[in-house]
Amino acid sequence: MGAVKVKLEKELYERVKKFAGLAGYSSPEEFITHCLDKELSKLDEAQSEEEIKKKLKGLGYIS
Amino acid sequence: MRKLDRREFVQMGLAAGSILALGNTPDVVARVLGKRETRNKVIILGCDGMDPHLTDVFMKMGRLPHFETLARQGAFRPLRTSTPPQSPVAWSNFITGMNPGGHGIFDFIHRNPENYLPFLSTSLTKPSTKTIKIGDYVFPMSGGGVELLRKGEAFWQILERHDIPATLYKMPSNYPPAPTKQRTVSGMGTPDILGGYGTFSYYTTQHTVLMENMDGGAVFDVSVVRGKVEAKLFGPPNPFKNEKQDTFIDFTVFVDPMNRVAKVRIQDHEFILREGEWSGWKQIHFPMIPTQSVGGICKFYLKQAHPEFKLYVSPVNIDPGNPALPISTPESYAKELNAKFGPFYTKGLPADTKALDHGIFDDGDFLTQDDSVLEEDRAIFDYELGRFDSGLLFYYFSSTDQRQHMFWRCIDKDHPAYDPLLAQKYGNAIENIYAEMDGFLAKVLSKADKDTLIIVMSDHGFTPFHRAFNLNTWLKESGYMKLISERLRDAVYLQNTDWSRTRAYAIGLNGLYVNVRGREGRGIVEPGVDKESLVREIAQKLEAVTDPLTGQQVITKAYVASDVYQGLYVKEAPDILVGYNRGYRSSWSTPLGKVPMNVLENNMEKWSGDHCMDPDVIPGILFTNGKVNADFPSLCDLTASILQVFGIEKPAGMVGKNVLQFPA
Amino acid sequence: MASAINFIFGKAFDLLLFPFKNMNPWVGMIVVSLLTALLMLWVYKYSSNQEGIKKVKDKIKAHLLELRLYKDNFQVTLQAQKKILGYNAKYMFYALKPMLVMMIPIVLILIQLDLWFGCRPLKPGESALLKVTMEQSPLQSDLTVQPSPGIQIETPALRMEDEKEIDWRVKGLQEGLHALTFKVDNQSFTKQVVVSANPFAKVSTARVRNQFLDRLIDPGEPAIPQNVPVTKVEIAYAPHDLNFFGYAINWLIAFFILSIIFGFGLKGFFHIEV
Repeated sequence: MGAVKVKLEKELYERVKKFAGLAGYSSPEEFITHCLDKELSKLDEAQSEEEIKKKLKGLGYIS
Repeated sequence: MRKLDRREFVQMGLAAGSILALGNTPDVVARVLGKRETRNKVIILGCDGMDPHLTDVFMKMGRLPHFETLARQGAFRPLRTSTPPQSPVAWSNFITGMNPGGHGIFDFIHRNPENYLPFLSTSLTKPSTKTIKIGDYVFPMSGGGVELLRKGEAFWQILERHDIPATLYKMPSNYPPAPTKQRTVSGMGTPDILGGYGTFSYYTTQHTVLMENMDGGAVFDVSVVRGKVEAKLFGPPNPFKNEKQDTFIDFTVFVDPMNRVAKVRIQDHEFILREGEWSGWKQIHFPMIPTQSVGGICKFYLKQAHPEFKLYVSPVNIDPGNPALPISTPESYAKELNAKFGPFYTKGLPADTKALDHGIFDDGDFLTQDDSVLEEDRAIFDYELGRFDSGLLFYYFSSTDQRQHMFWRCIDKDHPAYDPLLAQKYGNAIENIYAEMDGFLAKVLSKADKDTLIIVMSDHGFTPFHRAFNLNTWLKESGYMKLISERLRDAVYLQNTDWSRTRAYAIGLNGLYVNVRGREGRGIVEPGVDKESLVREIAQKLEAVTDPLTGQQVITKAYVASDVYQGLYVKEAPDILVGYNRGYRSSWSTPLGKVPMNVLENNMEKWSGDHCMDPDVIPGILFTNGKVNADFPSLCDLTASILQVFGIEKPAGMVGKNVLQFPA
Repeated sequence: MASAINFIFGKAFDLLLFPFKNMNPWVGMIVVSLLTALLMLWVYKYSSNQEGIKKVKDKIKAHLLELRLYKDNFQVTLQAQKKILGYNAKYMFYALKPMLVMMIPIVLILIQLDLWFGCRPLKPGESALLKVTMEQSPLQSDLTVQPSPGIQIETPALRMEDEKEIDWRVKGLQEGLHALTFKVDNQSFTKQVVVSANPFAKVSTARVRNQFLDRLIDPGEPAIPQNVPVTKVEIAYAPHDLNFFGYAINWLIAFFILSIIFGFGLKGFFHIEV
């Protein structure tokens, strides 16, 4: 799998590095990947909510 | 296949080699082989929502001569419906001979206990789990699919094991159709191409009706420029695109500057409509990527050409000639019907009640559209009845239900939405549809021989829907539910609920759930004794609610699931099934988890009759030429009785009993 | 010129297909394909270098044999493959001339066949779009249409300014060859409409102006008079596919497959190298 580089503010990166170590991540990359993954899965859920809305549409008994 | 333009075909003639690439449409003929002839036969007419009281009234008026004949020769009984008396639940009772505890369908709408989100109860569409991305495109690598959520064996699957042939036309709660070699076409619960219960499109220059994305339809603001309207018809999201954009088809409508006439040009189709005219079915396809598209069928209705332009396009139905989703068994059966009769409505509940509710249709438009449903029903019915000679034939009609929902306000002077002028014009809409059913029955009577058991049945009856009860508002006022903010009462899906302090909530049309720790995502009520006593307490309080306006009891019975259900899936049921009194129903916004200000409000909608009440006040009908050994038989009893006709003992788990005796 | 070609080809096909009118359309299709195959073989024989083709084919065969015999000898097989490719190219070259010669009659045959097999007539009770294309915007035109008994105009005129087009919807009531009479600028002309329950009939979809290519492509009816401001009148008949054991087959495909089968089947009989 390919990898891409992302730019972060130096200050933020320092904080990430500090907390990654504290939280037991092997590297700041792993920590960042984990955080993004978590956020994205939330968005996925929001998308499935949209899907639900669409599916319920048109049922005569509700509005 | 599209007709070639002369020039095109000359070009093709010059490039003969490429011609072989043209596609042909196989005209597949379905054959159900290896079925034995049965001496005993069963014909069932399933008339959704046909009410015993109204049937009696119309019989006395002389409108239903064949129902009268059948009642005289055999029997007419009220038929005990399901708890709750909603069509997907009731038909599932009939399909499996079990109550909801056994088949797992408790309401039109279920909820995911994890996140409290509602979903349609009868089927689940699963997206493809593995995909690969190439540029902007995403390619599904493992198939998603649709899954029927109803549990338990369908009676025609049991018949199949005993080699008894059966044909079932549009049985509700059977999408996607349960696997079988019998001929079945799925009915209520079959989605349109967008995956929902149906979304129409409405194109107009009249800016006052602009309500984009109204429930059940989409309104598009268009303009007529030099006699031309350019518009888009939207399809399902493109699964191949990263952003899941909706697919669409561009189309053009030409309008004469004076004459009340317009021409629609969409893909290969070009047709003229006069004002007030409907087109026939048009096959269209939504392009996704080169070589891949999704096909569907739709109809166009030119409501008005001048001074304002108004064009209605029906929800895009799954094309029975080339189904994008499974709608029949064997797969070729829908194609066979399509080859014989042309395209037909495949979406469950095809009458567009939403278009009438939103004023896009007037009452006449609605009846015209539902008449076209009935016309298709009639053609296929004649064909299936004509070739029926063995086993079982079940045929379903949705129009009885849909017209009672929409026209109750024209027969009921006490209805808040009663209009004497409309009543004069459409007061016989319900009576007429009952008479139509009498016409179908006449054909069955003349076809049936002495070895044929005839059953005419409905899944529930009908009552007025005068007053709407906001169950969630009642829960809040009674202290069982707490909101995060008083100002966000319109939030859907209970998103404004403070779960840390909420003990009970309502979702669906009759369902009430306790917020149980360990079951619900953020449950607070301990399972066991705490929960049990809370359920009993709420049930008791619900039955005590009276309407301050009328003094009537609003809820005649609050059923506790563990008292009324048996089977493997009782634990998935709502904890209480709310049985409303005649005239009362769950409000419009409770089923999706809104919490409006008032507990009770008038129902001013055109949707004016309903049946999501107490099963005791709303039985269905049973007419048969056989003998009925019960005063108040139930849907589940019919299932056991049908098996008995073919000498099959009912399987364990089926709660119905044999109540029918073959005509002597 | 176009009129003369149309007249000759039109009459020839009318005569040829007339006896099969009331039979299954496959009968007419088989006869036409057979005759076309014979014609093509004849054209091929006299327009191609028969000697050369035979030689080239023999060479190819010889090298194919070489390939099999010396399959272990890399040098020889490589040479043989090269030769085969070369002779193949030569073979293609020899085929080019007869192909070019055949193309003209084939196109003319296809145009006639399309009249018979491309569309089916209106069934009684069936409707279709009637399209009239004009020289100028139809908004100021006084063009009217009058149906003969047996057909009906179902809609008011739909005038499209930018398209220079007027459309109506026309419905077939009774079987027969009917006419629509158009009146414009004090002149009149007609367009035929075929109504029949039998799907196999000669159907002229369009009547066009006297332009060479247009007339060649739409030869079914005489040209529209030159001084009338109308360039084309068209009925959107439904396309008609041939039924092959339940499969709908475009007539063009049936025609090509059948004539190729007949052609290859008969070439030996006439000692023709293809």
